[in-house]
Amino acid sequence: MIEVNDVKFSYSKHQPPVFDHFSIRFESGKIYGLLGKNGSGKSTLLYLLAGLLKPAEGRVLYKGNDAARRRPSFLGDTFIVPEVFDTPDRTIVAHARELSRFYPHFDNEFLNFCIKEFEIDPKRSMIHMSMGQRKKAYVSLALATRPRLLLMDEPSNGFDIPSKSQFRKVIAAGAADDTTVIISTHQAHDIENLIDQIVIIDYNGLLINVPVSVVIERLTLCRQMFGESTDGALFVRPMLGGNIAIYPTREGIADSMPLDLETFFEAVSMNPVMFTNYLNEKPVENGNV
Amino acid sequence: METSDNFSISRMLRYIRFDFVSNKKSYIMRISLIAIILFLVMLLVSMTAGVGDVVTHAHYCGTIGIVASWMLAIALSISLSYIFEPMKTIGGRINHLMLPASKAEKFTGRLLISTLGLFAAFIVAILVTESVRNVVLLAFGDKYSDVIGFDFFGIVKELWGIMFVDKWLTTHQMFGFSTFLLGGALWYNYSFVKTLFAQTVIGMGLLILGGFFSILSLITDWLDSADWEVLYNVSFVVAWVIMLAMWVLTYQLYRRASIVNKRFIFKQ
Repeated sequence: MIEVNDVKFSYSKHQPPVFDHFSIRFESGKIYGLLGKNGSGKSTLLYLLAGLLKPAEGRVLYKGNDAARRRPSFLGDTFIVPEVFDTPDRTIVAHARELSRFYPHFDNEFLNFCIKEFEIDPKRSMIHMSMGQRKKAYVSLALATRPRLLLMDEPSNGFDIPSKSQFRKVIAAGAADDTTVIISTHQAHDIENLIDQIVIIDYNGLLINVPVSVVIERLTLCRQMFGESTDGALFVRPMLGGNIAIYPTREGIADSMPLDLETFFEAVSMNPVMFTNYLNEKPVENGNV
Repeated sequence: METSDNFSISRMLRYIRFDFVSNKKSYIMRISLIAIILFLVMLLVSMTAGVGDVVTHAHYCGTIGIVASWMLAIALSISLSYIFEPMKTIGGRINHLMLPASKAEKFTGRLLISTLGLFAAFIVAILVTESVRNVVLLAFGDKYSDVIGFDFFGIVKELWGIMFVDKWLTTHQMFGFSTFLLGGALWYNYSFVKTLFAQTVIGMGLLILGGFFSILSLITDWLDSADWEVLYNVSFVVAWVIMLAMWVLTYQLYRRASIVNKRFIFKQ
């Protein structure tokens, strides 16, 4: 639905490019978790997808049109929730009234649902809200525009614990079947049960782009005591009282638990080629490698 | 809902409305400031009209026309230099650039807000302040009876005559406004001060160049044989060509605007 084709982008001629011949395709109806280290280009990728940055080479195509041209039809389908944002000095309802004139699918009913779920004060000016409340208001407006492409940069930053759960609920309810949602975050736990696809990028490249279902199906996380054998583990990390290890899924692994995104990210960052090869190869019968 | 991807007047009007509603408080404060200054000037001119021999309402209108034209010129310069004020922060740039309207619609909308919007605000300010001035002066009884009278069109006529009738003065002013417009596209923050500084530097450069030509004309006699009318007409055309180039450059800078700060001379 939106594709990045052989893009090269740099913020300055004197700096190494953030992306050099980078390509990726995001499908409709999927929620993507975009992970990467600091400075790996997560926000830059979102800005390129939104057309807020223009690549030096290559193109970002949305329904076959160049995103960088920021045509009204593209902008009407797209909403970005940036990490740093400005809100006007008026209530969410008053702002929504004006925004709805620009977005053909604006959904006031869903906005009311978000206001209720997020416990936003509809009579309070957004500029006088706390950081977390303002972010909730911004996310609510983003979802109410019913975008076909929703880009979110660290959306759960500034949320307290109950708000993170509200956030997941609202996103799950708000993402339409044909919407592509791309969530860039360091708070991997916040989007764990929400995303369909994991995308990990590193400096200048794509490390992995894999469905969550494949990761869950093919990898198992184990806690092991010191001294226990880690033979066959794809990744081992010491922890208090033992190790945490990732194994290819097979029967009979003791103390296994669902794989968490943070450990998976750490493992892929250390050995991307091995994980990519393993997750992309055809599964062997009985789940054994 | 508008489906055109190029230019739609209704969408541009929607953008103007969106901008006005979003920045209502700020606009009202600016209009109020213009009205207060104008009122104080009007009152001062009215109360000093009796000093000396000339004590007529026509004299009052003429003086206010000059003052108002100066105020309008300064306000227009400031307004044009802050034409892209909504883009001064990253968040503001995202909000502005991602609003579903074409670049041409948003640019034209901003231009209309900064020019026609300001004219409209100025007219309203003159109407209100002139009414209040008359009420205040009536409270003094007959003392200021010579300058009492509601002559809105007289003031506007004076103002228009000063600003837009003389070809050279109009060109001169338009040139100045165009530089502030370009300054607004180059710098989103402190653009008025930065443009003034740039104008000063360029002005000094032109002064030196003028001095050089003066010396050259003394040494040689090429200026003596020059046709001054042709020179005036050529400089008039050159001024409008440069102005046109500044407008095109302003639009190109706006069209290329992205989320990042611009570099070097474009740096904010």
